[in-house]
Amino acid sequence: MIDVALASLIEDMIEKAGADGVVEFWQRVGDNLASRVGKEAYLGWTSFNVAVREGRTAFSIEGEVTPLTDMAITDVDGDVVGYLYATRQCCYVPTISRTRFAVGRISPADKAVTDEYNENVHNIAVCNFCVFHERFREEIAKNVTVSGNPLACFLLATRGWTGETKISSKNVVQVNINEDHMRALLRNYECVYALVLRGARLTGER
Amino acid sequence: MPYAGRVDKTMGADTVGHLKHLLETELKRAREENGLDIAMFLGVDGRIFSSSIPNQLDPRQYRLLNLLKGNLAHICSQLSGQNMMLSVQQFEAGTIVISGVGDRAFLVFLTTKTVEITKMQGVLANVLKASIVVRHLFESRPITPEILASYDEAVAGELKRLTRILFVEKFGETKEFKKNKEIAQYLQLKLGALVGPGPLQEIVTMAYNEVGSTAPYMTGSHWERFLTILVDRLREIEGDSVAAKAEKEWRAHLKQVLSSFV
Repeated sequence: MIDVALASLIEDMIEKAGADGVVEFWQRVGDNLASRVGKEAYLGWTSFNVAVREGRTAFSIEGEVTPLTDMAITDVDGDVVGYLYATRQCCYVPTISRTRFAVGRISPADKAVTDEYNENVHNIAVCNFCVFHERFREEIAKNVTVSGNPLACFLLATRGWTGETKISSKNVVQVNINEDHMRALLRNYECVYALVLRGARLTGER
Repeated sequence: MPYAGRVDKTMGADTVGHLKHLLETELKRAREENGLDIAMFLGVDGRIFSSSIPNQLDPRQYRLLNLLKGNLAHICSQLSGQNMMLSVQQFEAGTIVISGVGDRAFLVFLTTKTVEITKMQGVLANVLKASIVVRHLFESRPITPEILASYDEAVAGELKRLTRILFVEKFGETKEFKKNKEIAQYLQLKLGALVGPGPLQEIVTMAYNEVGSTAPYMTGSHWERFLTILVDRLREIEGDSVAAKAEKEWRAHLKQVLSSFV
């Protein structure tokens, strides 16, 4: 019930603070929630990926995450510095489905917030919850260390409940991943992101 | 030092060869970045420790070099006797910049380009920076974060860049790289003979990805895990007895290579 009620809350918020205000609010929620999740440390990628598969990391709060170990990210020296991670179903899809069945169509406020975020922050959101979600992952990545290095999160691709897809041209370049690879992954996954060692030399000359 | 999982891959000078390479690299960088023609690192007794000289000298450069050679005894005596620290000499043929490196050595830069003394502030600052860097290398001091913190930002940045250049240019010659290469080739050869070239590539690539590193940067524990993954996949394809035999042979070889002195 509470998640369905959230839909009308966003309408109220948009009336009071505008779409940009809701974007800021969601980002603050992401920051605050991430700050309440404790720090985690892993010896190496193997132990981190096992923890992700077993749902023991902070990233698992959003549901089942699959480490795509066939898609490792390497630095300019050819060493593995990260991987792609994907969720088959966005954790907000059940909320959206319940809202659609219980209340009716999704509020236009959802689209207003999404558009505001896409135009002014990062063109990757397919629903207003993506705003919260991206910030949350970015913040918890800072609290997770692998081989002593904190992580950085890059949201790469999303598929919404309407079937609309978004690929972040900015972030795919940063992690040296082809957009076509992203399109292939979006057939099976709704949200794809990269976790890499913060500060790794991903592009440029050696 | 294990490189797997290290974001900033740099290398300190482990051998005299590395130290010499760092010295030559610094002279070359100082010469090229400041648009100078010749750079030399000499002792106050006149010995040339290291130099960066173009393959072909034009007549003016040659003349300036001869001029320096003629004045060398005088320069050396000024450096050793009078503690000269920095000198800029301008001749018709060009300009000579001399900068002391500690008590017993100095740097000389020559340029035949027309330069105005009043506009040499930047070049002189860079020459002084190069002197501090060369002194650090000449004294064979390690390049650690603690020591870098004692220098100003420009000097620390240059020393850090040198360790990166050394890694890029010399890591392929290190003992650990050669050992890793040998192990990777051995395992690929042995596994390839059992499963064929197609599955080999898939198994090996996935195993590296699962381990979270690549052949050049693997450590002993990485290789142990890598081998376990290979053997598990081999067991699925070829059965228990083939996998058991391979594991026994491969682990023995792995242990031997990793513990070998060379």
